[in-house]
Order: sequence, then C-alpha cells, then structure tokens
Amino acid sequence: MDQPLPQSYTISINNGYKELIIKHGSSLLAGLARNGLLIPSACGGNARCGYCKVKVVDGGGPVTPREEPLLSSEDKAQNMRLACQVLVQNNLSLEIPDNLFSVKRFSGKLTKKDLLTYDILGLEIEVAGSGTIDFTAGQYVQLKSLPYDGKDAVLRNFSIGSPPSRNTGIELMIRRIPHGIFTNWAFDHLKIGDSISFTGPYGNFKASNSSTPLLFIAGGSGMAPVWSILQDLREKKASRKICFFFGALTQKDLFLTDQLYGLQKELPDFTFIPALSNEPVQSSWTGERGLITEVVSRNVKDCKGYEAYLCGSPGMINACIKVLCSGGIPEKDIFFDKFV
Amino acid sequence: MSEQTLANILGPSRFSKDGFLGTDSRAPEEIIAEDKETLVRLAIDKKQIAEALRGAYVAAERALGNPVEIAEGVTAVHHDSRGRTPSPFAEEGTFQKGEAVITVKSSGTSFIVTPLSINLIEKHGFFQGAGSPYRIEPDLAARVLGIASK
Repeated sequence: MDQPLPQSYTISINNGYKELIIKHGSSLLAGLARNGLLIPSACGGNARCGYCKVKVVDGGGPVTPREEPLLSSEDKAQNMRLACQVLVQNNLSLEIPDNLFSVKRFSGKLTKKDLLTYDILGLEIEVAGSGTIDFTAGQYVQLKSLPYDGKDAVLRNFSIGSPPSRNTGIELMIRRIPHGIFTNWAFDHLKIGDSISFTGPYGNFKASNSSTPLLFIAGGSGMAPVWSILQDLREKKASRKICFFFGALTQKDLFLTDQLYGLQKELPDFTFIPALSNEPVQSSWTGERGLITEVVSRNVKDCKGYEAYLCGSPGMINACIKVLCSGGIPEKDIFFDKFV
Repeated sequence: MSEQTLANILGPSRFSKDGFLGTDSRAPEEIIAEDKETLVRLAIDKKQIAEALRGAYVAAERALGNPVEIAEGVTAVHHDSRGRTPSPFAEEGTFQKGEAVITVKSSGTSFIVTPLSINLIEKHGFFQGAGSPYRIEPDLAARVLGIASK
C-alpha cells in the first residue's frame, strides 16, 4: 500500500538559518507570505511581473514554461525561480537575501499630500496604531492602490524619501505617469486620511559606512532615496566629501532646492549642483545647463576615489556609468537604483 | 488562441490601464489584418516598421527627456517610468516601462512608442486598437519615420 503523501514540507532557508513548514501544494510565494516572509511581487502570483525571484538550491524541480520568459540564462544558472510558480511538493532549500527577513506588512494612513512639482507628488504616510517601520536610507516600499474606475488594485514600488530616524511613517515622491494605474490613483483618488497598505523595506541601495567621498546623481523622483540618504548623513554629522548632481529639464522640474542648498551649510563638505537641460536660454537660471552627463563631466574631471550612487531612468544611468568610468571610478564603486 | 481569449488578454488589466484594444469594436484579428493590408500597400513589413520605431525610441531615450529631432520636422521625447510591464502574451516576459512621444511639428500629430508596443508590432503585427493611447497608425509612423516606399 502506498504511503500517504505528507501534508506539509520543510523549507530550509540560508543553510538552516530559518526553517518553515509549508502546506503541500501551496505556491512558494504564498507559503512564504503566510509565514511572514514577504517576497516582492506586483502581479499577485501570476508569473507576469517577474519580481518574486528566489534562489531554490534544492527541490524546486524543473523551470516551468510560464517562468521561462521571465528568467534570464544567468538566473537559471544560479537556480533562480519565480516563487509564485514553484509548488511546494517536497522539502525545499532556499537562499534569500538577509534583508528580506525584516520585510513586514504595514497599514498606514495618508497624512499629507502635496505637489512638489506639476508632476511629482509628495506623500506622507503614518504607520497605523502607533507602529514604526525600521529601514535603511535608500530602501523602498511596495504600495497597494485601491480599485477605481474599473481598474484593479495594483502593487508598485517607491523609494522612501524620509530618513530612518522618522520611523513612525514614510515620505514618498511619486511622478505621474500619463497612463499609469497607480500614479493616477495616487494623484486623483487618494485623499488625506485614507488608509493605505504597504510592505517593506526592500532593496540594497544604501551609502557605504566608510569615509569615501560620495557622488550622487539623480533625476525626477529619483530624488527620493538620495534625499533620504542625505538627511541620514546630516543626522550622523557625516564629514565626508559629498556631491549631489540633480538633473531636470527646466526650473519647474526642480524641487527641494531650498532644503538642499540649506544642507550645504549643515554638512561640512556637501555640494548641491542642479542642472537643467531644456531651460530657455533667456531665462533667469544662472546654474548649470546641459545633460546631466555633460555637467558631471565638466564638474568632476577626476572622480577617482569616489563612490557613485545613481537613481533614475536606465538611459540616464547607463550614460552616467560611462562618464564615471571614464572619470576613473571602477564599476564596482558605482551603485544604482535603476528604474527597472 | 480563440478570438475571445485574445480579446480578453488584450483588454484592460492590472498592468494596462486602458488595455490594448481601446474603443475599437473590431476583433484583434481584424485589427491585425487591416494593418497588414496597410503595410502591404506601403510595401514594407512589420519588422521594418518595428526597427524604425526602435531607432526613434533609442534616440529619444538617449536625450534624457529632452526633445530630439529624429527626422525633419519630427521630434521625439522620452518619458521614463520605473519598473517593467509584461506583454499580454505571457510567454514573452516583461518590457522596460517608459515611452517616447513622437510629434510632427507642423501638425501637432503625435503617437507614443514603448518597448512593449514595438514588440507587439514585431512579433504579432499588432498596432493596438483605435482609441488605445498606444495605438500606432502604420501609415503615419511609416511616413513620419521615412520608411514608406509608396
């Protein structure tokens, strides 16, 4: 007589650092979430977004056809799988980045909503029930919208713009995407006092703890993680050399400029350089003009010895990497939060 | 794939606010067939038009949000966006978000190019339905990008 199938299996994480029991037949993504281990996902477990990649060292079985288009050959070589497509049918062994262990689900309330520019919205969300969120400057959260106008709720990632010391809530900067489901909800439907749920913190975009000089380059809502890091450095009374290049099209795309110029008086060796690439020639602007890459090249001829942190579109990041490498920064010292 | 299934996957979803069919009452197969006729009339194929659209997109992306002239009297402006969006055809994976708006200066006529819309044209000959914000009229695009040979 056949042995009955076990009702649940052991999931060993990071060489036994943590062991979880997950019910037979659950998806790995759902099973981990039920045990409080929240892997980022934007599609609700439908193998569409490709965000829920985890390393399945043992027991994952073959890659399924639905995973194929979302896993690169490098992913496959490293045994990466989509957690939403791995069915728990035996014991599994996983490797998961340590920072995912501290990811939690939060319920919050919108306490402030301001336009920072014509297309960038600033939101302040307080954690409900006098709770707190512990994060590192530069990390991001995943927010959930509510259904509207026949559109489903969606999940989207946004960098935290506030410093870790203000841990009773988070500040976000959201740029409106013309046909974006989430951003149009945030601009047009989300009201002060509304509840909003989110998970986090996620990500490894954070400044090193060394005394190495820092070079930040950002554009648009890419300001958020840099602003969080700079406020954190101010609170820690950092004395290292720091330079922040912020690229925008015109003056109406600039924001937080007063605060950033003010920071030059608070941090001993900090320089803020906003650069405009499409400002009318006859305007009152006396600051830097040109593409951010040109402005960085002009101002930092030799950037050997810097660590560079970039946040913006893939196009901007790729262009900046070339400039920084030719200026003497090895690629290993260039860190980025690419919008991909 | 059945007509209804195709219509379902091309409708509004959690990744596409308006869907790919817009207000078009035609079935996806009809849209594809009619646009194919246009390409035949122009003596070009879907790969040529996809390649020209990709060239315009890349030129716009390199200009980091500034308008760039991609042909005489035609500008392209890239708008970046965080994340990736999946193809409605699940087996095709995800595509970088971001869009390039191509505008004919003299008339103000414009259309939007995205990495996903280029893929839909290249793989499926699908230019999206009328009323979709991402619909690309093949004859307009071919003329604007200078590849229409007739």
